[in-house]
Amino acid sequence: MLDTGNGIPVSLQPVRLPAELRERLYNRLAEVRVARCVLEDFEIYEQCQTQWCWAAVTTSVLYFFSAPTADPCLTQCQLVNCILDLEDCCLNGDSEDCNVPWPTNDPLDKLDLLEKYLPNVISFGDLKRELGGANCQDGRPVGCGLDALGSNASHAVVIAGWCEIDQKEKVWVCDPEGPDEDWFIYNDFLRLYHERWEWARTYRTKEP
Amino acid sequence: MGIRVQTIPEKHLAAIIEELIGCCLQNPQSAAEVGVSPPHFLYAPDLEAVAEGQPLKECPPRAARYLVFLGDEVRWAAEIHKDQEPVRCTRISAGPYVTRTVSLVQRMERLEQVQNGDWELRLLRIREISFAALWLKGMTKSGGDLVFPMSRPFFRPGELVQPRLEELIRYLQRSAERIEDFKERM
Repeated sequence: MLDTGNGIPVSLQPVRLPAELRERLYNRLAEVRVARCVLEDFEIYEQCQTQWCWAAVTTSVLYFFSAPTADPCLTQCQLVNCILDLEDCCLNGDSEDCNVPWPTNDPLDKLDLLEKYLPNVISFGDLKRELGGANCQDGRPVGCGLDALGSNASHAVVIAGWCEIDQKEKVWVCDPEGPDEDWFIYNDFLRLYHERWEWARTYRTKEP
Repeated sequence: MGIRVQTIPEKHLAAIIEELIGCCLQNPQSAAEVGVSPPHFLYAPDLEAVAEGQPLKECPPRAARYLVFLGDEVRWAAEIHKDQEPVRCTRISAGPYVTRTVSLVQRMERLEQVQNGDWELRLLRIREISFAALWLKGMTKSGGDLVFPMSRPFFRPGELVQPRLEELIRYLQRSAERIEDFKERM
């Protein structure tokens, strides 16, 4: 067994910053003015089937407002059964009946997690307010419905944080397809998320 | 022998640091804790190519991917697109794929086959079908490739799952075909 002493694999051993870069980073961090808020308790769950972004987003919002009560994949398939009025999606989740796209506002509404559905995007200022402003006070995750450029495919993600630095406005995007959490420039996220998605719908959430 | 350790171009290091400032890092004291791993390359084949069964080896690398540590804790993955000038960090991400990269490579390095071979570490990612895997490309003429998925339905926490390559390629092709077919029906 390879023992690197710090639990990090040999081939991924990090290099510490050279003195000059370290100093530059220190100085920039000391001078930069940042405002930010991230909903630290929000966790995006991996979608358990290729088309279940809507079920994963709903599960993630549900378990933000209330403690998880079951395995996230079990919750997703039960939700899919309920929404599609089927019975076997926990056993045959990848079947053509179960593994289908669905409007995310529907399951959010059924679980009483939907404050308001908007058929459009919201401004960075409105996003900040939803996420709890500068103090992160009582912030709520914001669901986003995305449309693919050049096809009729759609996707759903959650914004769970914002950041302003050097007049750049950024959003913390949590994607169940991955799952990933990334900082994106707000304007880039609006128009070209991962080179193929455009933000089209907004799901304001609430505690049930 | 083992997994090759690539060098970090200084321009890449500077670009990563610039992107970390503010939204990821705020405290000046953290400058002393930041560490960056050697790079591995991201391969993201086109969905249509996967559906058509084109060999993955024909897909060009898209970006250099680095893991960013604070002390001994991995926190983010940073990506720098290949051949982009000026060099800019295009993505800083967090989440399970970041931590899984460390835990899976740790297990991979314990395999005798890996220790006795010559390998290049790669990340294979097909977003449209929610697939990600660590790919060890055999760098000797006789060496094949090893692929260790980080995503469902193959991944299992605490295990190093290594499906047969034929089985994996069949799965990727079938999943890609379904998405392509679905796009056409909509």
